[in-house]
Amino acid sequence: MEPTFITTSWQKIKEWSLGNALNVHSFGTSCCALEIQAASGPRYDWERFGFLEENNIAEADLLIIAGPVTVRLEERVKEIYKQMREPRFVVSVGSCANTGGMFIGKSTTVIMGVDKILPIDLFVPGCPPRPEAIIHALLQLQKKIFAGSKIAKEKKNYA
Amino acid sequence: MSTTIIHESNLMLASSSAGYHGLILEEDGGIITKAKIKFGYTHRQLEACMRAVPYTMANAFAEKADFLAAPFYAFVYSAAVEAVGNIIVPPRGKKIRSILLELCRIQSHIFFLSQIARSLGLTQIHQFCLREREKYCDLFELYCGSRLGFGAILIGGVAEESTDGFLFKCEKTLRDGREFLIEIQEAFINNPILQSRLRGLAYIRKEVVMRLGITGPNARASGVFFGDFPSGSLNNGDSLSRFSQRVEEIKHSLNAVEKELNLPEGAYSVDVDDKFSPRKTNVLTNVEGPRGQINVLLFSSGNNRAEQVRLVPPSYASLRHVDDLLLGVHIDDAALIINSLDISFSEVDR
Amino acid sequence: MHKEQVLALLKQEAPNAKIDIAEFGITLEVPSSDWLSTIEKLYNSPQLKLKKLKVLTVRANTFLWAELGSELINERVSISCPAPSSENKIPSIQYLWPLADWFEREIFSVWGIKIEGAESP
Repeated sequence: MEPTFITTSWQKIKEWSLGNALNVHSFGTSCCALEIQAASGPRYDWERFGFLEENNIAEADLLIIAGPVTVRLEERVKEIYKQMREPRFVVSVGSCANTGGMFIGKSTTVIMGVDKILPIDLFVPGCPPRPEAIIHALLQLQKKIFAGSKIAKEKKNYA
Repeated sequence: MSTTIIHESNLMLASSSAGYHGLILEEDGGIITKAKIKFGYTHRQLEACMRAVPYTMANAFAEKADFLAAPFYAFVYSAAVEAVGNIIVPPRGKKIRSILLELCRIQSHIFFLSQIARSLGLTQIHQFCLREREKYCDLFELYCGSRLGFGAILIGGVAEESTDGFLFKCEKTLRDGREFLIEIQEAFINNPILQSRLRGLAYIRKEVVMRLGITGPNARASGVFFGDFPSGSLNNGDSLSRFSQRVEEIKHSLNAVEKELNLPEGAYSVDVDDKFSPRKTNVLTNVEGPRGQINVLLFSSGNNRAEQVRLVPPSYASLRHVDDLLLGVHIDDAALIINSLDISFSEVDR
Repeated sequence: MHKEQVLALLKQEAPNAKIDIAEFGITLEVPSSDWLSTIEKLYNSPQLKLKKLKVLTVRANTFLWAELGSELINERVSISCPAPSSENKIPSIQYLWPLADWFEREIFSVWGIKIEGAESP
């Protein structure tokens, strides 16, 4: 019998293990938070892809912001982002978090888009997006992680 | 020696339905000595937005106040505008509206059951209740395309024609609903963990209910009844009676929808367009939602935008009492008390 | 109770109020100095018993507006008063209804009208 070998690189093992076991911390404010709870529910199950709910912020890899973020919540969201450890990713779910949504031009307390305060990896459009759309988006994020360091992250000063 | 705990939570951590709130506690050896609940973080100025658009478009903003009871807010706002503008909804539209409202009430109470199960650690029951809730979301999606019922109830009637397939699927879902209640009877409702943890927790007396103006299942569980609503098996005002009151209401709603399933002939709505301008007056309408009585005060001016709309949420009154309910309670029970009151923070903040 | 009887009782309790009968209810307009005393009289009146506060808000940025309800009468009764200037202050009604202090704090934070007894959130 001939011995069999698998050749790989350490980087690929790291990306494979990170992408397949992401800890998710969801920051849901409004209707989109209900769709995220449905996405973790029994029908549109995201745990089969490796995503797991995590309450401890320091151990979370992925922050999901769902729903409109108001001016009063800006400090909280930034604090949560600062406490996460690298590698960390942020996903913005729903049109209120993407661009301000239905409150554009009418409300003065809603921040028109979370990308004004945090660096975002993925935007999921919808009002609210279906749970399947959220899972599809998270799978795209997995592909982005597997592609690895070839995609550079945009560095802005958000602190 | 006391420690101060600042506990910021969102939907996934401790709160029952909706939104973001903070809880500042001081505890001494595990028993809470001071509590203050903070809300107002997600104030989106819904009422100001409703003043900036014509009457027909403001429905969308009213629904977002409490997304678990979105058809109820759309209904009470539409009823106010119809009263002011002398619009009469045809009987078929009225029946479809009442079917949608009862389905929404069942769906909201099942979500309440799943949150209680989650905070007690019974994760299998949590997933089981969510699975049952998905069937009601399917019904709403079949009717109007949105899983939460957004855009189903409009001024002048309802959005879509109801088909035979929708009514057939309603019947099937109601039969499943009765089986669901039988199945969770032994595993959940008679569960010794639930009975021992919820019994005797956070009594709300009758006098407090009358003085604060608490309405809905919280008031009925303390023995204050208005109108013909069912009464649960216990009425002494603790968390277990609030829980069993809502189970009883699911049963009552399942029976009520069955009687409404044959619709009269006719149109399902009346056309109302953007330029609809009622006369200048003010009106107060209300509806009994799944959390209590929702009041809407509408001031109309002469043109096609409202002068002012004021939505009064039912969770306001229950929330006012939480600061006192949390005193002297063990810190592990704090989340359970807030969950058992079925408070929706997104409607308190609007 | 008929609307006329309710009107007569209201005129008796609030003599210097301007009563406006609309299609959907009765509105009393009182001057700022009579806000608390009128509400107290309506609360304690044995035939009217207006012991329910439904909402307390501000209309047109200048008028305080309260909706009252009762278990004895079927009519809708609202009470309104112009907002206080710097000389006369409006006292809070939270000793009758504990929920009113949250309404009054909201009035201060959204419209900027100060009510004595419920100012800082």
